[in-house]
Amino acid sequence: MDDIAVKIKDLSKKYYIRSHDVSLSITDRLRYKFIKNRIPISENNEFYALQDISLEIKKGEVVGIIGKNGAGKSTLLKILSRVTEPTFGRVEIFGTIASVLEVGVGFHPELTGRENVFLYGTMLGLQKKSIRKIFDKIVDFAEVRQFIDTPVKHYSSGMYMRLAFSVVANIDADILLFDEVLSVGDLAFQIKCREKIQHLASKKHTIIIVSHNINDINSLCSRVVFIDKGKLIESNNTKLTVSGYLDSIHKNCKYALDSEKLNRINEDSNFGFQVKNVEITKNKMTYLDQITVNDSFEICVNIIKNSSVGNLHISLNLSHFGNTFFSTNSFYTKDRNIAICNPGEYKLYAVIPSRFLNASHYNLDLFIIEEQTGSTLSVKDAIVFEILVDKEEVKNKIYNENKAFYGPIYVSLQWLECYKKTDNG
Amino acid sequence: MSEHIIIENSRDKPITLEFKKIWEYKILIKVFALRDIKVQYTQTKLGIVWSFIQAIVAAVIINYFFGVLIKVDTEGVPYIIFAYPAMIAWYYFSYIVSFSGTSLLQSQHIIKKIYFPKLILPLNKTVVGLFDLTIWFIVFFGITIYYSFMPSVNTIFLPIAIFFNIITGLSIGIWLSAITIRYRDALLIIPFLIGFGIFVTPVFFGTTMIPENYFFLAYLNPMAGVIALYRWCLLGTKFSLLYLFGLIPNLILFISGLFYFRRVESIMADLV
Repeated sequence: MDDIAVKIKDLSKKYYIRSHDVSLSITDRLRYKFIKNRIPISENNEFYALQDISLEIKKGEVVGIIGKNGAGKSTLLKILSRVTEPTFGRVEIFGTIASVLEVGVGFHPELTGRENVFLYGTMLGLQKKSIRKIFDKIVDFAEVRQFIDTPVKHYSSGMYMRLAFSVVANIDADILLFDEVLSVGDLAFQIKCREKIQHLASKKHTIIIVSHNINDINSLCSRVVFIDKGKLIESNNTKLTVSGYLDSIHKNCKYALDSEKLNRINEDSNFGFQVKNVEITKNKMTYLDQITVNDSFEICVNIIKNSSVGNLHISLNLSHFGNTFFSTNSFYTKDRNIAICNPGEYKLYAVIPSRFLNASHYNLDLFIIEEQTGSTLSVKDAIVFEILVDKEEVKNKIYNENKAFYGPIYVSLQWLECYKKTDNG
Repeated sequence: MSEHIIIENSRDKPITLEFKKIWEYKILIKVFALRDIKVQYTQTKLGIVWSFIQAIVAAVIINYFFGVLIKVDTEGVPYIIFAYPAMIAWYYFSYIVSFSGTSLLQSQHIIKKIYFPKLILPLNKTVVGLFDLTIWFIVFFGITIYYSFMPSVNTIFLPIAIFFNIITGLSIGIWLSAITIRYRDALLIIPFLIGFGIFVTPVFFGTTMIPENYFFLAYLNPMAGVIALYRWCLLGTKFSLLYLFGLIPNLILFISGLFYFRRVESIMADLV
């Protein structure tokens, strides 16, 4: 019992979708009654932002909450930080709690940095003398000492955010909640934030983070909670939950560009060519069930070129968790510089060798570039596909199933061993 | 630090006023008040001098208009000394009503993101107003020196008058602020209340000018009671106990306002 920081039991939050009944004034009502004969349907639909969430969080855990927009992540944090009440269920919190639901809320632009630190600190429930004690730490962490007596309205937005974040990170609350706030400031500060969080966690502070950045979640959290449509889907070891989340996002992940998107591209473009299909093939055959790390496959781009357009190059961009992993262009290759010159239908295959990509999710962006003018048609996330582990390899302990989340390259390195027996061994 | 917080729905629970919680956060009232006062004067050249200028100019205009042009029965004291305390009371009252009434809307972005007892927001405005009140009183005592008028010994009871002044303002302000989160109509009431209220309250005139038959109306008006209390303190004029007919219901309005505020506090973040 002693090591529990937050205990959530059967938590539900119900909202009413009020379309009009509050905002409709009496004159509007009369107008609708007599002139339009009908009051616009006031749908008093109930809507559960959270439903029966039960969760226990231990002291010193860094918990990431993931889920799609509107899944209820922020509502959960709002309840934990006591901004809003749950409809059913209860939460027990052991220790002091501080939350940042939005960076910079509570700051007043006309006041100086110093005054704002005191203002915000008090709002978070601190006494003046305890703020004074950590004041230097806050300012140094935010790196704004030079401007601490300048009104914050003159701050750059990065400085403003840094100062606000720094107050919360330094107030020594037992439990800290962050809603989408890890990406404040420049890269250097972001790294500092992450280090700070790890440092706090090592000192038995409990940290709960909502983030859409899978990299953050992967690197920081010891546990991940996946919420979808107000329900708790998984709460587990980071890697497994993240993979569940990605699966749900990529549920309709096919090995081809979907036709709706295809139509949109062709409608919008007056490029003088038509994209017929983009798909993943195996031995130039379509309709794959799955690809494993041991399969070689091709990314096939099928286009029809008219005579009205110049030479075309095809470029592909493969990204992994939002970071570009590699980029390849049909023209700049080892064997042949393929450019699409003559009118007609083309199928270009980019061959991905086996045992190259790791088992994970990948996003493929497509670019079709006209050689002379450089004008480009770009299709972001043309295909989102997954590469699976080879079950045999997992069974034979050649491959670790969790390894999937450590990077996009499939490696099976050679390991050498030098052994010497010691006397006291 | 070993705190144990339980978060539950409070709908079916009895409403508590939680003065203890507000006491814990009392520093926040001060910090908010300092913020509001500082912000008032940022980037002004004259700063606090403006408040003095306002107080003095008001005194001069009123003295000329009502004291010289329209002669008002002042129960034997110089007109400006008679009218000024009432003006102070009315000014403070209207300040509290309009600013505490809109305080929740004004701070809705904070309400939605940070936890603290929300009652602090309307309460804080009384403290901000107290700052102006002090300036007006300094001007008032300046005027008494100018007229060599000796304030009554009752002046030591001035805090009681100020207290009732606050209660009267808050009783309306807290109700309005709690209502505004659902219905913005309350916002439209405020200017009306302040603009017309001054005509039915003996601010620029004395109660002696009210016809006997309508006197009971003055007693029912809590602000008339507050003003009579101010005049009793500073000028030593009579204070009729009948004014309690206005002041006591007002106290009830204040307390019920506190309860209503607590009732809706839990849903503020969802509605505002």
